[in-house]
This record gives sequence, C-alpha cells and structure tokens, in this order.
Amino acid sequence: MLSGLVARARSLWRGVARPGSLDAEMQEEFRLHIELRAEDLVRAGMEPDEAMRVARVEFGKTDHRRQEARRARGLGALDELRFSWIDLKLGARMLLKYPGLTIVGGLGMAVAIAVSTSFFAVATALFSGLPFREGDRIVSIDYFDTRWNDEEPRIVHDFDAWRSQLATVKDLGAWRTTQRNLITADGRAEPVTIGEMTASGFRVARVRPMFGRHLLASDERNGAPRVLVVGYDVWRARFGSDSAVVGREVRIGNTIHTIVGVMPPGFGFPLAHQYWTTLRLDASAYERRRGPAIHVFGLLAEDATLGKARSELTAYGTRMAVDYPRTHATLRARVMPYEDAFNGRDELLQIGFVQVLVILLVAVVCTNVATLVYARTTARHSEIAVRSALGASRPRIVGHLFAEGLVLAAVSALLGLGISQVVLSQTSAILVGLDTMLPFWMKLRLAPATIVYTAVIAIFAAVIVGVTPALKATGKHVNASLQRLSSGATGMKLGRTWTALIVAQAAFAVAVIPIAVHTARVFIGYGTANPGFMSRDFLTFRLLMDREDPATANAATYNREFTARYLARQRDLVRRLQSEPGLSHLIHLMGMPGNAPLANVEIEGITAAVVGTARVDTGYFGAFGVPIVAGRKFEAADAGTMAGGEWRDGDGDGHVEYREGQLVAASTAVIVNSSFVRDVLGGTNALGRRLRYQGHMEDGQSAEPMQWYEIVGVMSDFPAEPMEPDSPRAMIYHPIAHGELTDLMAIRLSGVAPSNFGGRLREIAATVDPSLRVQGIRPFDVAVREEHLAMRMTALGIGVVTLSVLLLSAAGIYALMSFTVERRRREIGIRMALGADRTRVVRGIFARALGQLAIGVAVGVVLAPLLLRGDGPLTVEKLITLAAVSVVMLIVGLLASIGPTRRTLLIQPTEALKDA
Amino acid sequence: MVSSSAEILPGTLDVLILKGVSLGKLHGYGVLLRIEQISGGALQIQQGALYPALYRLEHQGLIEGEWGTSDNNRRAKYYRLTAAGRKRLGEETASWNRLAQAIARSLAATPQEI
Repeated sequence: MLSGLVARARSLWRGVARPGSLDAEMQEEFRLHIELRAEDLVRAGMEPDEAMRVARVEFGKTDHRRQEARRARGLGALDELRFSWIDLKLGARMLLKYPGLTIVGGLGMAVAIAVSTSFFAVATALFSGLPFREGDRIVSIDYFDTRWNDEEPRIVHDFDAWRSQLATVKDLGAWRTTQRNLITADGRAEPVTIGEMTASGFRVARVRPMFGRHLLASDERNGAPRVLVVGYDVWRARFGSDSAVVGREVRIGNTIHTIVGVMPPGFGFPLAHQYWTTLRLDASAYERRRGPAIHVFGLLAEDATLGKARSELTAYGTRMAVDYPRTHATLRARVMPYEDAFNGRDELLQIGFVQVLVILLVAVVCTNVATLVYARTTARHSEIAVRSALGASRPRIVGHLFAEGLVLAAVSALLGLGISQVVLSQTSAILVGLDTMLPFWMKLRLAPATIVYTAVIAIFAAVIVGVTPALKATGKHVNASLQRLSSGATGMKLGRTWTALIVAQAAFAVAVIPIAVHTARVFIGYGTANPGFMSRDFLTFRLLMDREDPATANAATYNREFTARYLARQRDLVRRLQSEPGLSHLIHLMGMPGNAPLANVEIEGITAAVVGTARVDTGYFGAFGVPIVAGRKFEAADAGTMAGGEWRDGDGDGHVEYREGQLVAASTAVIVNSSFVRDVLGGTNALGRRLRYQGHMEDGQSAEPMQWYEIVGVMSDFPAEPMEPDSPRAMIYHPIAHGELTDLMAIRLSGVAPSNFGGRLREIAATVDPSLRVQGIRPFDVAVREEHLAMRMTALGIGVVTLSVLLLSAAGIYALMSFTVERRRREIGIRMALGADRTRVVRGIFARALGQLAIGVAVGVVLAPLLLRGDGPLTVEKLITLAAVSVVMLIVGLLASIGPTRRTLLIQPTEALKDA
Repeated sequence: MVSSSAEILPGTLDVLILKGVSLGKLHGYGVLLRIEQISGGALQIQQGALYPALYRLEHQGLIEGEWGTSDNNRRAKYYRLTAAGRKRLGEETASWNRLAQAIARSLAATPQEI
C-alpha cells in the first residue's frame, strides 16, 4: 500500500520535474519497438521499406501513444491543467483590458497579502533562533514568582549556586543592561546602553572579535583594570572605523575604561548590545532576593538535554524553597531555550490564531475579487462556450482562467511585498525611536521564508480568484450557453447563492466599516493634534543620574546620599544652563502638556465636576507663552518646598522608588483655564473662588475634608486643542514645589536651533557630573510626533484596510447588481413588447435590486451597533458614520443598476421577442 | 472469419505483462513476443497498446524499468518485476484461476445437475 503510494509519487515527480527527458525516453522506446518489429517482418520475407511502413501502421500514431502513456503515468490531469506563457500573456492583457477590476481587485488583494506577509515576517522574526554554532544549546535560566506571576531577576545568590552546582548546564553567565554616559577624550558625552556581562557570554556565543579581544574571566576579578568591548556599528559610527581604537581610554560614567576589542558586524549578544563591560557580582553584599537584577544563561552540557536540565532546576528550586521558605517559597526555577526568554513562546497559540485570521482575511478579500472576476467571466461566456465546443476540456479552460488569476495575484503579491517592506522598516524605525531593544537575532525583514510564504499565499489567492469562478462558469451551463449563443442572451445564471452574496456583502460592509472608521478617527485624533505653540523652539529631555546597587547593609545611607546628590547636581546644571546664551526658559515638567489625570472637584457653591489636573513649574505659562485671561500667573512663593523626598524601598519589596516628601509652606493658589470657566463655572467670575478635591473611601464614606484651594488666575486653554480626543478640556493647575524631583525638563531656545543644542547640553551636564545623563533629547514637536507615531501608523493601517474593504464591497455589489439586472434583460424586453409601461418596468427593476440591498443593509445596521458598543457608548458621530456607510452602499447599488437598465430599455421589443 | 488468435479480455493485459516480465527482464517489444510465445501464439496484442499498460504498471511500482543494451548493441529499456509486482501477480493468478474454474464449471453444467 505504502510502497505503491511512494512509487506513484516518485513517478509523478519524475514526470513533473523532468518532462523533457520522460518524453525523449518514450520516443526512443517506441522507435526501437518499431525497428525490431520491422526487422521481424523483413525476416518473414517483406521488403525493408514495406516492413517499416507496416510496423509503423501497426504501432499507431506515436504522438497518440505518448499521450496515452502520459495518462497512464498519472500525468493526464497535469497535461490538461498545464498553462503556457500564452495563458500568462493573455492574463496580463486581461488586466489591461479591465483596468477597473485590476485596480480594485489588485489593490484589495495587495493590502490583504501585505497584512498577511507582515504578520508572518514578524512571527518568523520572533521565533528565529540564535545565529550561533550550537545556538540551540544556549539556554536561559530564571526564577518565576508564582505569587506575583512575574519573573524574579534579583538572583545573584542563586546564580553563584547554579554556577557551581549545575551538571546539565555549563559556562553559566549573567548579564544586565545599564545606561551610562560614554565620554570620549574630546569631551563628547552621550548616554549609551551597556551590556554588563560575565566573560562566559563570549565563550558561549563562540564569536571571535574583529580586533583585539573580548572579555576574559580575569577581567571579572576585583581590582582588575576596567575594560570595554565595542560592537561593529558603534566602532564605525562613534569611533570612525579607527583600527587603532584598541587600547584607547574612554570614560563610562565615573570610571575610566580601556577599549580592548571590537566585535564583528551582526553580533549583539546577549540582546542587542554594542558596548560590553564586565559584570562583577558579589553575592555576599546582598541578602537573598536583593541586589542587582540579572539574566542568567548557559550552555547545555554535552550529554544533557533540555529535559534533564529542567529536572535538575526543578529539584534545585524545591530544595531552595525548603531551605529558604521566606524568600523562595513561591519561586520556581525554569530553564528554556535562550531565545524563548524574549519571544513570548507562551503566546504561540494566539500568534497561530492571528496567523489563521490574516489568512482568512486574504480568503475573504479574494472571494470578493472572485465575484468580480465571475461577473467578468459571464461577459465572456460565448468565448468559453466556443472554446469548449472546439474541444478544449474543462480543466484546460479552468487552467486558462487560473493563469489569469495568477497574473493578478502575482501583481498583487509584488505590491503586497512592497507595502510589507515599508511596514516592516517603519516598525523597525519606530522601535529604534522608542529605544526598544529588539533582540539582534530578530530581524524585521522579508526573509526568503517570508517570500516563499507570500508566493504560496498568492497561489492560494489565484485559486480562489481564478479557479472558483472558472469552475462555476464552465459547469453544466456551458452546453446550454452554446445553444443560446446565437440569441445573445446571457447563459450563466446567478441563482439564489448570488442574491445571498449581495445580502451578505452589504451586511458585512455596513456592520464592520463603521467601527473601523470610528477607530481610525480616534487614532488620527490622537496622532495629529496640534500642540498650539511654537513647539519647534523647545527641547525636552530627561535628566537622570547613574545609580549603583548598594550592598544591602548600606542601602539606606546610599539612597539618602543619592537623593541629595541628584538634587544638588540638578540645581547645579540649571544654574549653569541659565547663563547659557540662546536659552530663554528652563522648566521642570511632570508630564507632557496635554496629558492630564482626571479628578473630581467640588467648587464652592457648585456641585462636583470632573476636570483634569496638572502640576506645573511656576515658569510654565511664561515659557509656553500662554496668555493670561484674568488674575495672575504663579509666583515663586506659591510653590512651597518639598522636604524629605528620597529614593527608598518604601514597601520593603526590595524595589527602590522615588517617594515624595512633605510639602511645606505652599500657598493655596491654583490656576484654571478658559474651558474650566466656561464649562464648570458657566462663564461666571473665577477669581477668588474656592475648590477642593473629593476624596472617597472605598466604603463610599467621605474621607477627611480636603484642603481648599483658591483660584488666582485664568489662562487660555493650553494646548489650544486637546492632544487626545479623551483628554479633559477643563483644567486645574498646581505649582511644582521647590526641591521636588522631576527628571523631565524642557528648555526654550531663541536664536539657537534646537537640533544643535543637544550635544552642548550633554557636554555641560557631563562637566557638572559625569554620572549625570541627559537622555531622550527631542525637539518638542518631534517628541509629540513620536509619542503619536504608533497611533498614526495604526490609524493608517486601519484606514487602508477599511478603504480596501469598502472599495471591494462596493465593487462586488456593483458587479452583482448589474449582473442580476442584465440577466433579466430579455424578460424585460418581452414585457415591453407586450405593452408594459416603461416607468413601471424601471420601478420593478429598482425595487427588486434595492430590495436585496436593503435586506443586507438592514442586517448590517442591526449588527453594527453591537460592534460599535464594544468601543464605548453609541455617539451621534458613530451613528452618522453608520448612516453614511449604509447610504454609500445603497448608492453603489443604484448606480450599478442604472447602466444595465438603460441598455435594457434601449432594445427594441421586437428584437427581444426575436431572441426568445 | 474465425481468427486463430484470441482477443485479450479487458483487464488481463496487465497480468499477462507481469507474467511475461516475471520470467526474465525484457524490453517492450520483448514483452509482446513473450506473451505471444507463452500463449502459444493464441494471444496477440496490438503493437502500440502495450505501452500505456507498461507505464501504468511502472507508475504503480509493480515493474521497474532500467536502460541497458540489447543483444545487437542498441539502447533499450528493460523491465523487471518488483517485489510488489510479484505479490500482485500471485494474487491475480489465484483470482484468475478461481474465475476460470468457475466459468468452466458453469459451462460444463448439464440439465441433470440442475
């Protein structure tokens, strides 16, 4: 049984793969046969020429025999389906002949293919392995805390134990990512991402440096000189491809490092690093589950498997839970392939599900295009009927129509690949812009596997687009079609199936498009809001300071000192910057303007209102040039002083956070904006009014009475238009206190281009303190744009997909409607011949066409609110969108009916009768 | 006119080819001669009709073709039986014998036996 199948497959493969040699062999076999037969006939007494002739006649036509033989080899179906260059050329000509179908169908398919391809590319990138020799034996080891459902990375003690005890994993190493200033001899300072890694990382990766050496175990010893290895990209960009870079000294934060090596291009282990320093760990300085957060990796021992390693780690975890129940009771030790720690292998099922969905999207779009193609095929019914009468088999005609579909699908696939390439490179650019470290082995690009995938999807699309309508068009109606050819009537019929298709098509469009339009509008709203001030003059940045991991015993002292130092250095920097030419304002920010949390406030004499609140620098309104409507701006005395704020481990979980201190000597002054006056106070006088926040306890009881604030000023709305559709218009502003730590700052420049000032800013900060880092320097408009880039891209994506669905639905409905009317041409002609009234006839056609469409739209209108409600309450806007889409569908249907109706009315009744 | 040679029953060509090839490897024309020879000239096969059957059997993995040189030094494709072909030949022979016996018995029936 099985051997038979194998033999058949082998024989088929031979016929498909080397059709030429198979045919040549047959010819040779036939020739020998005829020659041998002729020789026998000669031996029987026949003349040689005559013998040859007889042998040939007896054998029969070799061409005929060859075809029989091919069929016997199971190649018959293939021969019939096989299409030639001519089919493809004809297909290309069809695309030009029907440009409407080509553009609508091609674009729709291109978008669907692009979505599917991009998703596949991301999924393959996500699950690609490490590009190292034996990269599949590199594992990641971690602890999972079942209590918090999260990883526990503070594992220096366990790392030491694993290093000395594990038998199944060798070359154990650890790494962590830190941000530090890189300061070169020329004074240039820039914050860089550093991979602090044990030397074993380079041993495990087995990648040799391009120059110099990589980190060695000897570098890990306390007191060993500090060394730095740099990656190829920064060697080129930051060090000008200088081959003498090895041996040069650079400053990383407060410490001098010597560059000892350059790694080759493409190397980024452990994640996507370009700077490597030695990770020095001293577990004895920390309590368990304290100290630095690290990632642990290793290489499976020669005789070990992942399964064995898992058993060993599980046993270790169980032992630790018994020995150290206070810290380890809820920890589970895990080991997994290295890349699985970063790729979300847990979500494999969901990713697979989405992949199926995007393939379905292709199928849905292609079905729509197939409808269009079918409608076109009906126009060619006479051609098909004649060809089939002339002996073209059904598979042959189907093959021909498949070739046409294939040409369309191929064009769409090329376009889809182009779109996908843009999407992938844009996504990469966004990730880089967001400082997200995409693991170096995950490349968002069109890999060969992705292109093969797209080709398969294109063939799949071609089958739907070409073969489905072809099978329908070449079905049992073909003969009838031939008979009626002379009458010019349309032979193919659109039965109930096609009416159902119109209904489904319209219902789908009306149900789905409004929610898509609404979502796209919301995203575009976020993405294109105008900040409303000269945002180009502003630079925003974060001012951060390097933190060490203090030994547990010294942590409290370190944190206190760190806070004091940070504040002092920040003040120093502000002082230095104020004397800098071209800098007109410098303010602290608690958040980007336009992003404000909501709060319930009670205004004296008025019931509660929900408004936005923000805490701003006293110089905020001055810097942004916000006009005063009434009263005054904040003054220094309003701000008060924040005392006692510091970094500490407030809740004892080992995580250090900045905790605010006590506000001393602040005034009760607040400022509101014009919208507040208009919406909350009804346009009445605001100055001197008092307000307070409403605090509610969980049981609904009011908490202690909150403090009253007094409105001292009214400012114009700022930003002039909301940055996000849901952001509050009415605002209350409080001053930021002196001594309150904020890392986000903005400066306004005059006469200096913001883009030129970044480097200078970093230099100044580094001279104040090398451990003071200026990060994320952006002109304000760029910051706003970047913040909203992902939203704009999403909106664009939804927009493109929606537009193509709308276009396809409209085209599909157009094709179906015009087709159903066309079909009734003769019937109408007869009715007219019998004296029917024109108006009544036309009304009849439209009533029927619109009836079908109306059912579809009605179903859609019922379904749409269900989807729309999933995204908040039904607003007037949403209903307008729904109404607009419904009307568009009806208009499309009407337009589609007009042409054929007009043609129908133009035919002479006598002609219609003659046809009958 | 009564022909001295019999028409081949539909479906029996395959088993005859298997039998022919089972006696030794043969090229196409050789198969034809062998069948005529072992049937004592009683069975004649139409010259060209042999090949579709040969290729079908090869496609099914019952025989195997291999290019070689003939007696008078010409390139020829020789067929030989595969293991699967041998098994099939055994089955077909048994089945054919049962059928032939049944038909012979039926035709030899006399009124007394009813």
